Amino acid sequence: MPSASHGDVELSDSTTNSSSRALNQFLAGVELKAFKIAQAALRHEDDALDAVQDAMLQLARAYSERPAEEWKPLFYRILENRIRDMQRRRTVRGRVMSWLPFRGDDEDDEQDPIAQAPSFDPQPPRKLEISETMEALERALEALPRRQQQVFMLRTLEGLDVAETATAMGCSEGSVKTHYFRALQSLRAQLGDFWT
Amino acid sequence: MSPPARGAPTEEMPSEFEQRTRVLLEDGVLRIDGRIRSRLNQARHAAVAEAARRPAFWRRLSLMPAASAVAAAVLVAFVLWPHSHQSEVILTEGGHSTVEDLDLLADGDALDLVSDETDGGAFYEWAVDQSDSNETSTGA
Repeated sequence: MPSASHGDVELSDSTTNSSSRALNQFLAGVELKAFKIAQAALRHEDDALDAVQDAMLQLARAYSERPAEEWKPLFYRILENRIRDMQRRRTVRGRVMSWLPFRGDDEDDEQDPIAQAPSFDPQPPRKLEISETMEALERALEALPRRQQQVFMLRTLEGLDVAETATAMGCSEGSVKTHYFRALQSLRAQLGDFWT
Repeated sequence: MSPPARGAPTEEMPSEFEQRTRVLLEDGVLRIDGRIRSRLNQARHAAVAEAARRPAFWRRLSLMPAASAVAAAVLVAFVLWPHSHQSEVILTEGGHSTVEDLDLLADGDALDLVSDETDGGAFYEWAVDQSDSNETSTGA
């Protein structure tokens, strides 16, 4: 019956639209924080962007049908795997390159002219005055062991609880607590002067 | 307040240090420039489009096992049904199927016949007489 099938299509479309909206809303809520987490781990803007983009696509492909409350730990699990892959690849590339007698300009090292172009974004005065504390925090975070850094970022910036962080990292809750506590100790030791 | 034990959870009551760190990190998120935001926005739209394309194909895939199971069941029924029907029907010497005997056994009156039989076989004698008389009348 044409009307019934038309109704089914409408129902299907509305369901798809609804889940698309939910996914869009979720990704919009995590993308900036995810980028900061990836950037802290990879120390490279474009690599961090690639990692977040891959994690978004992977979540959409494999897990968009899952309940929305499961998305956040899954997304960060995917992101973590992607970051780890990139770090491994970087390590391998570094080893290979160290064996080569001559290293020409790598294609990846080419400067993107668009990225290098001066930005015409409005520059709030606060942005121009990057605080010493912020720089110190970023340096301290980059110096943390990777797992400690990841736990700290997920817990502090993203606000995941211990169980969600454990799911995202693929480890036990006890590990999460230990890494988090050690990260706090280390950061306190390095940043104590900036916090007083 | 005593310091947390090694590895103890500190999530229940974030310390001032944790709170200040969180504020700084969130401030760092707000400072992400337009180029990064634009690329993240594009990546998000690509991911959502990917997910929107997914369901139709995904639903077809999810229906495949059910459809296959139904087809297999129909096929098995088609192949096995006639043979099983033929092999299970046992014909008695008189050409009656055992199914008819089951009907007799299930019938309460049939049990009376059996008890009559044990009482002296009056029913069978009567049935034989009836049969003989029919044959005689037919032959005549």
